[in-house]
Amino acid sequence: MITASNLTKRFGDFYALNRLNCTIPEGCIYGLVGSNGAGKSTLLRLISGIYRPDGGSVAIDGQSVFDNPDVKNRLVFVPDELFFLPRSNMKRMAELYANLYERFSLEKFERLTRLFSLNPNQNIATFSKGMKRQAATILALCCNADYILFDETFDGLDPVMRNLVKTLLYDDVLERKATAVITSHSLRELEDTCDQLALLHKGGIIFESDIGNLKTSLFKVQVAFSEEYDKTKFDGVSVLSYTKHGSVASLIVRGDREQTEAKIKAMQPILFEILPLSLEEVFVFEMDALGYEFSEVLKEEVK
Amino acid sequence: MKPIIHRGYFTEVFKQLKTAGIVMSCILMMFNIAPLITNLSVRLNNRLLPVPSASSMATVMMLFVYIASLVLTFIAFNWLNRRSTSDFYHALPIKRSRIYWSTLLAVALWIAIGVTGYALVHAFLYLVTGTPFNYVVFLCVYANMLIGIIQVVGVVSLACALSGTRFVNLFSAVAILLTPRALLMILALFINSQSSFLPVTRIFFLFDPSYNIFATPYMTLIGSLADTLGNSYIASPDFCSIPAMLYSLVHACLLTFLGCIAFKRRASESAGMPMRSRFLQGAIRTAFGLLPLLLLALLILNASFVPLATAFLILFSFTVYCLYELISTKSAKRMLLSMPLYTICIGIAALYLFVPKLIVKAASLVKADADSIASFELVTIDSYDQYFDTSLSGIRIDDPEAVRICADAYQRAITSSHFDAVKRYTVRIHRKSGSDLIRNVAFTVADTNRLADLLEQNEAYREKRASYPDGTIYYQSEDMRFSEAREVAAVFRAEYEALSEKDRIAVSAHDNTPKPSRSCYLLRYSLADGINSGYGTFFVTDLTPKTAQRCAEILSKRYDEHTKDALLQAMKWMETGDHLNYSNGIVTVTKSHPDNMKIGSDMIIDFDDLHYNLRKNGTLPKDACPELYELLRILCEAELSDNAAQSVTVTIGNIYANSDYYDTLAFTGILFGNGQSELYNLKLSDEQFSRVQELFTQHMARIRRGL
Repeated sequence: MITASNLTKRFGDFYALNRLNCTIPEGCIYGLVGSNGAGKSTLLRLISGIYRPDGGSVAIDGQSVFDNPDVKNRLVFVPDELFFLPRSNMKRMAELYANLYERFSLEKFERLTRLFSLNPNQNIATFSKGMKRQAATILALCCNADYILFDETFDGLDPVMRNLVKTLLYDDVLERKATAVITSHSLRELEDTCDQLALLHKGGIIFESDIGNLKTSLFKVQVAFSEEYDKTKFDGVSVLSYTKHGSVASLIVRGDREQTEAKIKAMQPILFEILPLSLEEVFVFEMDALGYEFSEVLKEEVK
Repeated sequence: MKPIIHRGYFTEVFKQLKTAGIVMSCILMMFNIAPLITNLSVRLNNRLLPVPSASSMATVMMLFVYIASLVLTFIAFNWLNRRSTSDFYHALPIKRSRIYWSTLLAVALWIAIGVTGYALVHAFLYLVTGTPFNYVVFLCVYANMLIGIIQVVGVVSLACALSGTRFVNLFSAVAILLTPRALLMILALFINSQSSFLPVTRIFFLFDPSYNIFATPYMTLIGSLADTLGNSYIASPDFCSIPAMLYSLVHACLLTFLGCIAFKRRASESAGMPMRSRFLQGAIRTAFGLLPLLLLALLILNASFVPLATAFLILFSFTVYCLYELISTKSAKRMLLSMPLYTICIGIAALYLFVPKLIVKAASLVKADADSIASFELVTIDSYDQYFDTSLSGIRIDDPEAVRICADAYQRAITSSHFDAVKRYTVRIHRKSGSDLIRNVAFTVADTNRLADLLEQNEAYREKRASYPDGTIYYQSEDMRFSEAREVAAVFRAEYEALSEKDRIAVSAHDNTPKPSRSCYLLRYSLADGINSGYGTFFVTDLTPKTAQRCAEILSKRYDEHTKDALLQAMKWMETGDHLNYSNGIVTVTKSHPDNMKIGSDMIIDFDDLHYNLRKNGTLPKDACPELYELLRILCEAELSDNAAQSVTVTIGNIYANSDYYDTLAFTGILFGNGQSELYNLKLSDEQFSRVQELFTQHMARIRRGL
């Protein structure tokens, strides 16, 4: 389990993370989403022991990470800016990783390079951006680490490769009880991958939840009645948002779906429909509820 | 506890340095051409083989090795300067200290491979070519180099740990390594320019360039520069100084450990950033701004003050100061903010203008009269590298008369800024109070001769003079082939061993010692007793008749082979004037007075008297020196002799070869400024010899009048 408590990191006068608290349980895929400069990469660098915290602490299973090889041996970090030795090929990189990471598996490396159809003898400098990402991902997965940290990893991967990576990640999580932390500025990217999501804004986590819960506890209801009505009609229901066009009202409701359905059906509507929300819509309403403007928090996404 | 070296990481760095390491090793191997070329050149020109001195052997190669170490260390730590690489390496599951030491070991191993490979091939080549080789000195050079390498590696790793760009890495490494030494060295120069009696390199050990080995080549450069500005101080490092090596080793280790601490504390986010510590950034900036200002201060102190130069140097200093800040921080704002701090540079430079004067003044107030002196040592004797002279150091002279001479010389030294006397010495004065003083003093001719007499009664001195290091003859000079020289050396050695202590002293030349009455040759050897090495000069006299005869035979044979062309050539040189561009002179003892000759007798032309120019409009002014011309003509027409006992030995050579040593059996030598030295045995009749003497006397008179 990764625990960050009051974690603070600043660069000069700028606070990249400010008293951040979070807990990432074992065996899950944890998504960190936020706009540029929100502090996602900084958090990953702190978790991976690259940065030393200016305040607070970050620990894996209770042990501090910074300059702690025992802990660092259990994690691998794939940064947004990838590193390969000059003029090296994947074989040489695998050799490098094997020298440095105790659990690195050359067998797995051979298997995955075949799976991704990458030539291990080809100079990595000649790889496309997506191929480089694949190469970095393969090398990271071959480390057989308990914690795999991906910073914007799915950027540059085509959908086929993205799915392949995701599948491998799921395998690792399921088979080895590994934990993956993935950052992205795109909610859509993480929507179908992560078990848990946290929204980072200005150096702090402003919202954190289990994705399954999020999607089931928040839903959209479209309803119409033969008589005139307004929002007060739904006083017994937890309505986060209410809009009405003509006689049809759209409600964003938080709560138990069946109970809500029973309550509204008892009002004898002439139209009643429950629609699932996209993760983005869920976030919009949750942010609204917390007093944040979603478009401010995830600028890139809105654009 | 885990080992300090991470094998996997070490292997990786070693692999990554492969190309640079191989290139460095190959270039180092090329330095081995030097002994081959020297040997070949010497043999082709039928000249004597030079003894490899530590400085000539090492300076260029050391400079290269240090630069190579610097480059290798930079390459090894280059990952600290890029965000992506810095993140990758900092994320590795390896303790930072292990990363640091593994990296240093990989760098050190590559350098060790290169340097050891070079050393082995070097020694082998010397052995194969038969070139004289002083293994002790070589080992000293090798040790020096290794220590210097640790210094470089330590400082570069420290600089890399402190900053995040190559530019700042490089400049901070240079500043950390050289600035303290430069400041000390310049202070020494300032003190030296203010006084002749303070031997700056000896009054404070850090003024001695032998300490802090890496800085030596650079310091020599500064010393030469200062010399051109009118200072007499030139750094001359002693590569075999054990204390200096130990000091440098401690310094190197300190730098390396500081590097480790800085590395462990280094933030990965420093990659691509300038120095994180504002203080260090300011210190380095100040160092670069300060050095040109100190040059200016030196100019002012030496009264070479020129307004234009001043303006230029201040402007240059300020520009360097600002540019460094701008380039390193990439921030015009920070550059502007740093500008007022430039006054620190000016303040330090101003200190240099009066602090040295205060030091000299304070030193001149220290009194040492004959009553307060217990004994003294002669530490160095001018700049000669004589084995017996250097061995003299450590011999305490406590004879009351010698002490009085020393006290008088000391008094003259602190009251007069110039030395007019014949011999300058550095003396260590042991006072009765228990404290020591080390000062440059000057002895008069009479004092020198008296000291020489008194020294002869000093048991420790006699013992040293009678000793002759075992098996350490590296070469012998005086115009013999190397094989001949070795043969003569063997003959001489056998005869020397059979001599009494008194006679041994009589044949071993020393600056102070009376010259034996019947010496016909000089043998010069490179002697070494452990690291105490130098040249030793021995007189070949009738005390070693076999050696004298062998010398005569060899030289006559040689000049029979080569004719007297060289002598005639000397005449030609005089006529064309091409090669007589600074001096000539005659040093002699008379045939009728073969008694001991002492320094300063009428028969010796003082060194300074020889500095006149014979050349006028490119030709020898025969009419200006007809007596010299006739004298030479007689010598040129004389026949060569192969009998040591019956001939006159003539030396034609460079006056700078030290005229004192060229006095021989009856007639000594004619010394030309042709840069070479030739020794002849000539048959001269009594009439011819008398005429030569007469001409010589005339010439001496002319010299004293001035040409």
